[in-house]
Amino acid sequence: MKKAGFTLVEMVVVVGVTGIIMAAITGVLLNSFKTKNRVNVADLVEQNGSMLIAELRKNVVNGVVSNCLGPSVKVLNKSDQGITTISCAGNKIASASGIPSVSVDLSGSNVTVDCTDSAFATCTTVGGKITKVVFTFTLSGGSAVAGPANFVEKEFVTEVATRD
Amino acid sequence: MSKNNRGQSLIEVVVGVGIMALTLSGVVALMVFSMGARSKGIDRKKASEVAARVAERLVEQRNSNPAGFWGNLNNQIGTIDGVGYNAIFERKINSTDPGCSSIAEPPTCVNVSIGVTWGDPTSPQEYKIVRYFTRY
Repeated sequence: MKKAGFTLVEMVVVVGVTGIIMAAITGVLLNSFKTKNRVNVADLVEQNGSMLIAELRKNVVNGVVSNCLGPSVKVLNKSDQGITTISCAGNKIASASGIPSVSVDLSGSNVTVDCTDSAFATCTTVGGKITKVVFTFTLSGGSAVAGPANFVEKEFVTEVATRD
Repeated sequence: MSKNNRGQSLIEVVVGVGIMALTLSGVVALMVFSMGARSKGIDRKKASEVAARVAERLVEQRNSNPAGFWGNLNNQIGTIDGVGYNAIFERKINSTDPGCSSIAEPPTCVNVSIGVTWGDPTSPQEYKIVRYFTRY
C-alpha cells in the first residue's frame, strides 16, 4: 500500500506560495514602519513651527516693532517697556531680552532651523511706520542621511500686522 | 488511497476564495483610507495657514490705510503659495454690537469670511474663517 503524504513537488509549491505571500506582507509592513517614522518627524516639525509662530506673533502683537533688519527684529514690549530682540542665527531662533535671565532659545532641540535661505523678518512700512512683519523660517527634522523617509523639511511663513 | 481523499469540491474552493477576497479588500480599504486621511490633514493645515495670512493682511490694510480699506469693500480673490482663497465682505447687522451700522456709507462694520478651497473640483474641501472689522 502506498503511504499517504505530500510529494516533494507539493511541498515545493506550498513553500514557494507561502514565501511569495510572506514577501508581500513584509513589503507592506516595512512601508508602514517608514511612514510611521516620517509622520513622527513631520509632527515634530509642525509642532515646533506652530510654537514658534505663536511666540513670534505674541511678541509683535504685544509690542512696538522698532527695528527690522532681516535676521533680527527688535520689539518694545508695551506693558513693561523692555526691548526684546528676536533673531534667527546659528541654526536657532532665539529671543534675547534686556534681562539676560529671560532670554530663551525658542526653537526646540530636535529640529534644525535654517536661517540662511531667506530673510527671517521682512517689514512693510507705511508712512515711516512698520505695519506688518513677515517671518520666514525653515525647520527640518530627522536625519537626511537615513533617507527621505526619515527627513522632513518645511518652510513656515507667518504674517503679523502690528497693533501699536 | 482511501476513497474520501479526493480534494475539495468546487463549492468549497469558491467559498474559500470568496472569504479570502473579502478579508483582503478590507485590509486594502483600511490602508487607502489611512493614507487619504493623512493627506487631508496636511491640506487642512495649509489651508488654515493661508486663511490666517489673508486675515492678517486685511488687519494690516485696515490699520495702515483705513480710508483705502473702508472705501473698497469688494470681495477679493487671490493666491498665496499656490493656494487660492476668496474673501467675501458682508455688510451684516450685528445685534450684539449697537455701534455697528451696516447702512452708513462706508459702513462702520463689516464681516469678512475668508474661504480656502482645495482638492477635487467635483467635491472640494473648504476651510473658512470669519473676521469682524469695525471702524469706531
